Formats: sequence, C-alpha cells, structure tokens
Amino acid sequence: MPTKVLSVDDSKIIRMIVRRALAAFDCTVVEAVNGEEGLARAASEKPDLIILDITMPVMDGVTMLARLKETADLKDIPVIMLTAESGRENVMHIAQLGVRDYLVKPFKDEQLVEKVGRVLSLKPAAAPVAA
Amino acid sequence: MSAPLTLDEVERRFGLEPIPEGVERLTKLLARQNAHLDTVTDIVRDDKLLTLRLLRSANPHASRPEEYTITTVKNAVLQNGLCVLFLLAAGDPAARAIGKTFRHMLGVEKVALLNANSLEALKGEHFLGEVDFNGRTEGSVRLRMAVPVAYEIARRLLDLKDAKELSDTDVHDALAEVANIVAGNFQSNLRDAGFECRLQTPRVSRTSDFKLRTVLNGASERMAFDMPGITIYLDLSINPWNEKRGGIPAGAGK
Repeated sequence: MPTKVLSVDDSKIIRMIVRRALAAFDCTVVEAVNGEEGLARAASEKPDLIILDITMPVMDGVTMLARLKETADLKDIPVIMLTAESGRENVMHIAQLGVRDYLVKPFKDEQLVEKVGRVLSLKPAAAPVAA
Repeated sequence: MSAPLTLDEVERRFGLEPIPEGVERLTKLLARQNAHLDTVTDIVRDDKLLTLRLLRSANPHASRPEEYTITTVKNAVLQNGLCVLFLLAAGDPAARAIGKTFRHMLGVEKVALLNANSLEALKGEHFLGEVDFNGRTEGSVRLRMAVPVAYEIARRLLDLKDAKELSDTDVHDALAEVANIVAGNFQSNLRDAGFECRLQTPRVSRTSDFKLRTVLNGASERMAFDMPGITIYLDLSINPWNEKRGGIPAGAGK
C-alpha cells in the first residue's frame, strides 16, 4: 500500500506546494482545510504522516495536535508542523506535545522533502521540483 | 520519565534559525520600556540592517544617504523615539521573511532592500495584501505591488509556465499566503518579547491609495524590495504598548 500523507492547511496555495513537493515520493496526499476536518480525515484515512499548519479557522493546528495525542489509535501518527509561527514559547509547547518535526514558512520544497523522508524513512523517487 | 526539552535542543532538533542577537536583545530591551540611550545605540550600531533602516527612518524625505541630515545612530535614535525603534527591531523578522520567501519559494536569487523614497510611487490601481494584529500590541502588515507583479508572484509560487493559467482567486490566495507568512514571522518576534497578539485573517484587495497608514499613536515604516522584474513594498505599523491616548509611557527612554 502506498504511503499516505495528510496535509492540513487553510491555504490552498500551501496545500498545492505540499502536494508538489511530495510528488518526489511514491505517496498519496489527502487534504483538510482546518483542524476539525483534519481530525476527521486522520480518523478515516489513518495516514502515515500529518503535515499541519497552526493558524487556521474553526480549529487551529495546536488544538488538533493535542486532540490527536489524546486519541489512542491516532496518537502515534507522526506530525510535522508547517507554519509561519516560530515564537519560541509556542515551539516549546508544541515540542512537548510530541510533534516529530517543525518547518517554518517560508521554506524550500527540498527542506520539506528532507523532513518527510526522514520521518517516513523514505528516499525521494525523483529529485524534488525546485521552488 | 524523560527530562524536559531545553530550547537549545528543540532549536537544534528542528533546525530553527536563530533571531539575530542584536534584534532579539533590542526587542526585549525596548519591551521593558527602560532602555538606556547608549545601550540602544550600541546594539543598533552593531547591526548593519538595523542601522540602515534607522537612518532611512530618521531621514524620511531623503532618497539616498548623501541627502541625510541626521547621520549618526545616536541622533537617529533621539529623533525617532522608542516607538519607531521598537518597530525597526520587531519588524526585522518580517523584512527577512520577505527575502526568504522570494529566495526559497519563488526562485529569486538576489533580493535588494531599497529606500522606498528612491522609487516612484505605485500609480493607479495596485494589489494590497494586509494582515492586522491586535492584543497587548496592535498594528498591521501590508504588502503592495503592481498588478502584473502580483500575477508573477502567484505564477512563481505555483510553478506555472504562464500567468495566463492563473485565476483571480489564485492570485488572491497567493498574496494572502505571502502576507500571512510575513505577518507570522513578525508576530513570532513580538510574542517572544512578551507582546501577546493575534493575527487576523489576511485580506487582499485592489486599491489606488498608496499612502503609508499608521495605527493610532503608533509608528510606521515602508520598505521596498527589489528583484528582477519585481518590486514590492512592505508597510509595517505598530502601537507596541497599545497606548490609546498617545505617547510613550512615563519612565521610558533616555
């Protein structure tokens, strides 16, 4: 079964960039536009990895992360935060919640590919598309 | 139970870029509102970008350094006051975020920070992407650019061959995301200095009003970023202490 990645971001542009970057891997990308939808999709799709924004309407990414970690069959899904928020207090809080990695926007496609590859122990099938 | 993570460990593990030391020190020093003039002057002098922006700000009508009437950091600090200085320090990550966005996400090699006064004003209708923030501190981040530049930015972000493939919604989404990235970097620095504030949803519109707007009792700065075929303006405005009735709090300053 191909690897499945859930991309949760309210920005269509970022979801498109994530999809483009992950084309380097043999994986399926599913999407959600806020934390609430992200939780529902995580439960139904059981992804191998979640790439998660913080500032989103309805439910933010930190709340979604905390809920994931409280849910027995979802808590072990690795999460990479992808956000413009880099305030150290917030980053510390998120690290303590158990996030696997953290990437601050703006970012290069290659940085995302490298972090995803490391978390999933995957090697890109093709060179990442340059941003 | 494992030992709690330290900030150093977290920064290393995630590969987070540190905030320039001078910017961090200055932001935190000014946040306490009891900064000593000589200390502030020394920190600014040690940071080339802060010095450049401070002298530009102290000479608002000059389009090049030869026209400056205020030429020393100390006099520029005295002329500008702490509110402007706070904006320059706190806004540093926003300015850096523009450069990184263009280098990392738009494939632009070299981004020059120009004196906005040295450029012609945008004439007629242009795109405006803006994000307000409020809380203990309030202000706004505004990005302005000519209409074809907005399309070029969206084209590059989406890695398309031709801007004709873009819809108006794509351009709005692209500008909203760039504004959000810049505002997020700005807000992170403010929050690290103890200025809790929340970002509002980005708004994108077309306007012919090129005026630099300032929040009530606040300070503002316009920066211009120049790349081949692309010029964008970044307007930052802030009222750090959210003083509704004006002035820097008693005890601040020299």
